[in-house]
Amino acid sequence: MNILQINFAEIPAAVQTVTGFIKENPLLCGIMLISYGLYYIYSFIHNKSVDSDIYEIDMVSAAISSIMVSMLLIGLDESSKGFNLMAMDLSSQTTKIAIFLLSYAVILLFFGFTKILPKFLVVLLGNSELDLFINFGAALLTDPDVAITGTLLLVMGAPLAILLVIQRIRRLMG
Amino acid sequence: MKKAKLIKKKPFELKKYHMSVFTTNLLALALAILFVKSYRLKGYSILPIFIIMLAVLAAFLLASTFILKPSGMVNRIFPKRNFIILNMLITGAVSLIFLRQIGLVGFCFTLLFAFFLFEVEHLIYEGVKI
Repeated sequence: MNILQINFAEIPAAVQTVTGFIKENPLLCGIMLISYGLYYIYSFIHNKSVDSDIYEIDMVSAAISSIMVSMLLIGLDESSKGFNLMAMDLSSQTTKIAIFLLSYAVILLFFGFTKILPKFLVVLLGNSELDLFINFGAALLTDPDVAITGTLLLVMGAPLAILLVIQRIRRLMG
Repeated sequence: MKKAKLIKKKPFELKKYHMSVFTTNLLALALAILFVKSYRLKGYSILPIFIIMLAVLAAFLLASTFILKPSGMVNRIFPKRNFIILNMLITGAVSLIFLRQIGLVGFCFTLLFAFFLFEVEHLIYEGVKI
């Protein structure tokens, strides 16, 4: 199944994959979700800063963590077992995702420092929901039995998108 | 009355900076442990990435000490000591739970990875001074 293909019939299986991963790593997934939850609640209560204050910092910080995560992903699927970039397996899904993540991080860094992006794009790229989405997706890739599909991304992304919308409405009202 | 006694200690105020650095540490430690577990399961060594990360952290700290601080872009290179201790204690405690699965190098890597990410987060906030 392609990473861009979404099959609604596979949603239960995708939900099971995510819940299975959480059940296998309850403490670590709990810590990840708590870290996001704390930040979300704080932003929900203290919504006084302007958008650019909040999201541009998050863009830079998300970029740096994405670079580190992509490095770890590259190392996860290269054949020399000793982090040799020449031994990268370019056919593997993990490596492709790692390279995509690295490019995304470089773009974020560029826009984070130059501050030339329109505000709505800053909000779209710099929110903590997207950061959690990326990090949780990367965490799923550490499980060799999990293959990232479009349906799985949808299952992970939909609740986070709803949370982002709620946060945005709260900020607009605040 | 001595002047020192008149100076009132500011009450602690929770800012976005604190929340961000704290939650970054939590996220980083969870990610690091998951990756180290996976590396060990596959029989890969985490040592090369550990060394790379150490070098990158050293470069960041050197740049902060010799470029960012002298030019006034940051006031403090590290977060306050108590904050560092709190973050490292949490990271150390959680990593210890997984010590058998991640090994000693993995334990050190987790500490380094978490420290690196929250230190970068601190520097970003210092840079923008919110």
